[in-house]
Amino acid sequence: MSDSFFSFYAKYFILLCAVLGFYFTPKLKLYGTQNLPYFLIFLFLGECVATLLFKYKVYYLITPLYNYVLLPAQIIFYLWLIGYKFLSKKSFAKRLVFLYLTSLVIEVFVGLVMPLNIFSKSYSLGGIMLSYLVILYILQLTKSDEVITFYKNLHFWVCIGVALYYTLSFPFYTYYNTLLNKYENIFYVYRNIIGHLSVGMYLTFIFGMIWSKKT
Amino acid sequence: MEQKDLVILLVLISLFLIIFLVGSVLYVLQNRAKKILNIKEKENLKIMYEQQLLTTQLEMQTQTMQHIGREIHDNVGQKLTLASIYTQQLAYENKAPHINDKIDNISNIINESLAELRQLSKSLTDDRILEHNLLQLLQQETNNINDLKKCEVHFTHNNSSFELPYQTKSILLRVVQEFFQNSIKHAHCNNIFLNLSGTDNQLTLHLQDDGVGFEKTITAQNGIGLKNIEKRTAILKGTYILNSIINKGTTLHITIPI
Repeated sequence: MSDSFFSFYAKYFILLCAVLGFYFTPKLKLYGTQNLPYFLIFLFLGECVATLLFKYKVYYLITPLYNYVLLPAQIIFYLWLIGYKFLSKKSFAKRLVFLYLTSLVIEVFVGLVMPLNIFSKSYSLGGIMLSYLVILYILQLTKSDEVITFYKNLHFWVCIGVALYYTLSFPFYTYYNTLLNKYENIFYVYRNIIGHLSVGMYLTFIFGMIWSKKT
Repeated sequence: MEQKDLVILLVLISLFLIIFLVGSVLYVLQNRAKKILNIKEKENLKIMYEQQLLTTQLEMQTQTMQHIGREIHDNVGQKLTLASIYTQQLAYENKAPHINDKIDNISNIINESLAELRQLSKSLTDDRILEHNLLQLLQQETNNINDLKKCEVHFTHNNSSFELPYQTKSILLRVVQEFFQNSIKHAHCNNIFLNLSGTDNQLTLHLQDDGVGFEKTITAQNGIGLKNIEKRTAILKGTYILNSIINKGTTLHITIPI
């Protein structure tokens, strides 16, 4: 994974998004968004570690780094951000995180029996959960008066960014191991598209931070 | 599954998901448009409700005043007339010549009271706001003040058509009356300048006196009259500028849309 577009170039978009986040989010005073730049810095550092591991050919640590740290961290953070903070559905968000972690543990055990490159099924499940939360957020938004100025709301742009990446990458992660093992040429083209999508997600965040209403 | 079939499947799934995403954004946009329409409708309803309320208030006020006016004329007026006749009869019969002067005094007081009551009754029951335009109403008001000889009102206008709804006429007349009262009672002015000018879409009322003026910050807290002027202007969705300089006078500039 570390030789992909995502690892080499997309991480700089994460860094840019984090830097802009540190500048803009304190001015927004929107519930929950202040934590976003810190998480993005964490992701950026994780991607840097993955790049270094690839550079120094420590390949056996790259996959576990993604499987046990970076991918679960992303799912858990966005579930917490949208469910717990944006929607204020605290117990529901906790249940979703628990469900995701359960699926991850199951996949870890499945991985012991049947070697897997990436724990893609639990990641796909996390993506579905996030898409569901985004739908809930959109329904909540349309019922409130905030819908009038929805484009000035960073919550909306974060949700759209998350939906853009996690919804459209859902088929890729669902068939990740199958594609990698049987259709390698499709896998690399598809992975490049997903890499661009992740950049799209961070650009949506950046766009939202710049355009959102400042206090 | 063959490679070609897999690609088609992935493309179809992705297309479906893209449609879902675009649909979500369109759903938000559609709801936004609905919400904006809803808010505008609510605002229009609120404005209509406020205007209806004001019209009803004014109608009730007019009805109440007419009722009081009729009661004064028919009830209190008749009794005072009777009292006047009795006192005049007493004087005529000359049964107690030593108190004839006092009886005459009482009779005079009763007659003066009757005259004032009739005047009051007439002012309460007349429909002059309904029957006259704003220009005529202000001219009458100017004449009334000038007849008092306490100060002189100089009324100028630009001869525009001042055919306005009852509500607007009534409110503007009350504002002018309030200003005149304040200028005479508190400002002790010698001159009041009243200017009325109108265009196709707005009407401007400019009032100025040469009285003692007042400190705006002090009066603003307790000035019921000034608050009334402000409220009345707001009802007509107009703008209101009040300036006062100590020993120089007070100016009031009101602009209302028509």
